[in-house]
Amino acid sequence: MKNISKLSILLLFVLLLQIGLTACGNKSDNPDLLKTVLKRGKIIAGVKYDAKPFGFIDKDQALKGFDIDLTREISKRILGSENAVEFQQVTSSSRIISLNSGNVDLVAATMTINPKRALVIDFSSPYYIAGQALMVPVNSNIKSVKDLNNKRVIVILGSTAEDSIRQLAPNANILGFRTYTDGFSALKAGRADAMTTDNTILEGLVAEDHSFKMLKERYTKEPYGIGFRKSPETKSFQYAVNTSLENIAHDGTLSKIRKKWMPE
Amino acid sequence: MNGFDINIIIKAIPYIISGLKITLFISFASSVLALAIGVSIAFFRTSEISALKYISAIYVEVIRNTPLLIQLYIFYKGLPNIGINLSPILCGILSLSIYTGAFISEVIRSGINSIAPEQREAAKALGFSQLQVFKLIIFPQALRIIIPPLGSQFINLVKNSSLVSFITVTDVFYVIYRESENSFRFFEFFVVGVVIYMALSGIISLFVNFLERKLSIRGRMASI
Repeated sequence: MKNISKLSILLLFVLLLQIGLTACGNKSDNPDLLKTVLKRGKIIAGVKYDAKPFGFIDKDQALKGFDIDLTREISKRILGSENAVEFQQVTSSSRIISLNSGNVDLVAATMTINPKRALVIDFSSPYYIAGQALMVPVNSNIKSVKDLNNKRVIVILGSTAEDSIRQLAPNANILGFRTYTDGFSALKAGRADAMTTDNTILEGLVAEDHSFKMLKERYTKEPYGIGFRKSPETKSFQYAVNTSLENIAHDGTLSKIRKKWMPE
Repeated sequence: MNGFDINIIIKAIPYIISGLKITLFISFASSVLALAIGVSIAFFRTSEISALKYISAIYVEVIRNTPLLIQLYIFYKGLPNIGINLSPILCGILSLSIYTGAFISEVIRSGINSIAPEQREAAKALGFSQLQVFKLIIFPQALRIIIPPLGSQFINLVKNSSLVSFITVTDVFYVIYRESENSFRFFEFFVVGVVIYMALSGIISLFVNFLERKLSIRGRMASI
């Protein structure tokens, strides 16, 4: 009797697992994303919570940033209201998975457009161009990426900086963290000699802690794009977002957002 | 994504192997240290010096009831604030050993307590010292009882060792995470991860079963 019930529990589990897996696999059964968004009345957007000034939680516990404002402008043009957005946190590591699992409709999270990612997800047209830079303690001897040999450099796992620093400084000791806060606090604790990621994000970190400085050199061009799940049903949604982006660029809203978050 | 791409795994095998070496090193070093700590703490708790008893009891309570990740971060991020800079791997080994040592001490203690007090009294009556009672009478019998739960503590240790990936130690979990990130084939790599950890745990289980059989006395129950 005991053996039979154990077996039937196991079979039930396998059956549920099978159903669960096939449910996850059948994306083609899903309806058109644009229709879903319009019916739902809001866009679910994946943004970063720790990347000032693009997506961050401010002192008043509110989520703010360039990517947040941009997404609000997009939802204003598609759904008619800046508040028709729900934000969810993503990190450099989790943003692509959040898209592919359908947790979010789009991702606006300092994501660089590159060919490798374009095989897996779809990108909008670029909305900002950043560059990879290096951050070091104010009194450091490191003046450029050439000085990084045998030094410890912090990168964020899943970012383009992780790939490029391997080529720019092949003899550097690369330490990978999952979030910017984790990485920066390790740098502050003296666990590494430098940190590398996009200049925009480093600026945000340096602004919080003046015992660090960002070196002048930019090693790459990082065009940020909005990410979409690569699937036929997201095509009309992508078209709507890209059209909105064009409008936002042409009517001056994009420069307004840029001036607000990157005043120079 | 469709299908299971085995080629991406094959390409990553050199990285996975180097990660595995680090996981094995950390697991082995921590197991030895954890066992030493566990035995010592268990002995202190049966000691007649009340200070030793008290301190070791507090150690066990605090360590068992706080998450390992917090303890790991205390070593990695907290100690540098008071000037102690240990390498990430050392932080991992120390933290893992201290954590698992607390659990091991409890396993040993319950094994020792399950030995009938008559044994202890008889040994004392025969003139054995405290240390001799523990070493020659109690511990050999307790060993038979504690081997299975001890085995599961070592299995937990191997699984917990994956947390060192959060402090930049390139163990097998770090490698799997990074490779799955770079190739976007999350499913393939996490299946590999599950298989690897199951294999490691399985080896420990086999060894524990072997020890159990070797130490068992036919026809005799574990406790009197």
